[in-house]
Amino acid sequence: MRRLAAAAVAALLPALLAGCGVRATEVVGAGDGPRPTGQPNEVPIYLVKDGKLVRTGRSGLLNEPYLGLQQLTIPPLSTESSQGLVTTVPRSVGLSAAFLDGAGVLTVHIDQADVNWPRVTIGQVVCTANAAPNVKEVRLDYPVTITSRKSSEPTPPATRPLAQQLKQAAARYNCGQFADLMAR
Amino acid sequence: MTPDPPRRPPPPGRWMRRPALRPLSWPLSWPPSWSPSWRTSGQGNRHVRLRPMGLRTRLTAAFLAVALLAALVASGISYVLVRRALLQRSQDAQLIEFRQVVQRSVPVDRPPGTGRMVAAQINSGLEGRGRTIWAQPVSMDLVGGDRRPPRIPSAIGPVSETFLRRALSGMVFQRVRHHGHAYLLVGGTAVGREAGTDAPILVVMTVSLRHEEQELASFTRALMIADGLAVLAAVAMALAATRGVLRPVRGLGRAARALGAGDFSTRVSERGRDELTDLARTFNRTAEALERMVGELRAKDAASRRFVADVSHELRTPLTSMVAMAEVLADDGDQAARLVASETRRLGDLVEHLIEISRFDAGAASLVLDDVLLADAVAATLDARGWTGEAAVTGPDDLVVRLDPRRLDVIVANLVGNAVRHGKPPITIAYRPERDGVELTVTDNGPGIPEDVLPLVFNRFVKAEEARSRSDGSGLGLSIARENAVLHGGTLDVSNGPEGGAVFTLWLPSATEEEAE
Repeated sequence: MRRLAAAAVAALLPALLAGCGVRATEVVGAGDGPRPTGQPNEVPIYLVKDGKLVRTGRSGLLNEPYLGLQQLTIPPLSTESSQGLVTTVPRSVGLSAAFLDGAGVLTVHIDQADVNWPRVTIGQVVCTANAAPNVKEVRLDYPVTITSRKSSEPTPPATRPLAQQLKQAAARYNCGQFADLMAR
Repeated sequence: MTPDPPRRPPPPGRWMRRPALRPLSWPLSWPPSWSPSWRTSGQGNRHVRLRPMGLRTRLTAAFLAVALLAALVASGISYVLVRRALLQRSQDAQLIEFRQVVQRSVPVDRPPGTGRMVAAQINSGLEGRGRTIWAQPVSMDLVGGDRRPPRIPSAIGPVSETFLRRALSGMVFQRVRHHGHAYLLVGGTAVGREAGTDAPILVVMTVSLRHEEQELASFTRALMIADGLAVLAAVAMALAATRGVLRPVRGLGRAARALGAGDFSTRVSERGRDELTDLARTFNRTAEALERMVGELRAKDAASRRFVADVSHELRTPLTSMVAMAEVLADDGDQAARLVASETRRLGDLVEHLIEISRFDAGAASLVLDDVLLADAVAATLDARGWTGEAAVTGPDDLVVRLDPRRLDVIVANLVGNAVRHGKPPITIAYRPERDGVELTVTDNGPGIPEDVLPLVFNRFVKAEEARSRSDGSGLGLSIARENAVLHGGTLDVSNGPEGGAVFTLWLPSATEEEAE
């Protein structure tokens, strides 16, 4: 009786001890992959058709109200291309919303120095940014190159005057300023 | 103390005369001096002690084994169940959160070129304590294909290729052990509706299960403590239970010892209704029967002693006149008359001895103490019997011992008479002070006493050799001598000397004044 119990304990104890802790498992299936359900509101963006700004929508992302700016650098979808819509923002450029101040001025970062885009391109950026909620004005923020030179050297004829550049950089826009470019 | 009563049946008739009224000697000297072996060995039972295979040990071990087994089985089962529940809960929580975050972060229609943004969103959505997340858009043709899945940085965890393959086609999880700790790997691929344009996003999440391990460890600790307490409780209960069993057993043992020691009034309590109570009842009945039987035997024994005493007394008066008359007749010189006279005298001696023995048996014998000068007393004894020339006496002349001079005379006379009759001269009587009394030895030069008779020599009507059966002795002399020695609180022993003669050694203590009363 005693021996039997001892044997039972002796047989049970290692089994118990060996089974302690969290053990590893095989790869276990847990059903189908996650099926996307989220469908945030569309974000409006402005594309160009025949030199005019055309408002259209792209599907949005959660918590990304300024997704439109990034979308401007993406080539138009096939459905948009078939309508003749293009984007004039260069593909290599990075557009991102930096911050929105209390007065509703959205600063848009452009990772390209000395932006000297055509007015329609700026219109695309400004109107897309302005379409985001709470944005009243848009300020474009990009690096400005200032080259210092000795007075004896001649002024390079190609560069724009610095004052004009700074003025342009400090300018605040809203979509209304580009109303003449809007397609009817 | 009387010597052991003969245990074996005496051999028939050669050297032993069996009188018709042989007194029962054993109930006389109660309690008997012989101590059974259990008496000494059983003394320590009163104390609680664990014998190697005692009832207490066995019961305790059985209780312990049962408790341990039950506790371990219960703990084992609960441990397995709790672990399963714990891991299931945490796994489910992780899987649900993973699925929710991924589903919420990945839109049904994903804007083009936002794979990394979505991956970053998943990353920040899943970020948390103990988690490492790896989320990347992967090439479309990887999903469900046989091509090698992308490499996952080893910082994420030990993600196997099988895991990745299966994660590309559905949601999977795996528990792994890495560097001594357990981790939960969760993997899945989110594929948007526009499967053709949107790159699927593979998400692998590693969750440390350290918290669960700690919980399990503390649970194990709690179980161990509980098991330990259960075992302690089992031991306590086992001790209590054995106490309940052993107490009556010990009581019975004590009672049985008391019964063995002669206390026939011993009874044990009969409380309770279990088997031990039955045993106690049986014991009580047995003790009762024994008490009754022993009482009857004692009564019969006393009656027979009384009868011997009465008969002896009744015989004495006629015998006295018969002895006197036979002496007168013997003086006439007739051979037959002389024989009658000597036999009548022997009969008279026998009756006197019987009366003496009866006094001892009745407890009526008492000491009349006096200061005795040993040299004078021994000389007087020899002189009175006419043995002065037959025995050499050695001993200090001035030894004074306080004892009963008449009884000393009886003892010495019996011993010397025995030596004169059965031994050969020279007979030596030696005495010397010994242990606050006197030791007196009587040595003869005879053949000694046969070894098998030696222990019986002080019994009544025992004669050492066939020839003696015709001798003058009553067969009671040595018995009376020993009774007298014992009455003094002394001893009388016999042995065979190195030269072959019998050596009787008497020791009598000197009585104190108080005992003189």
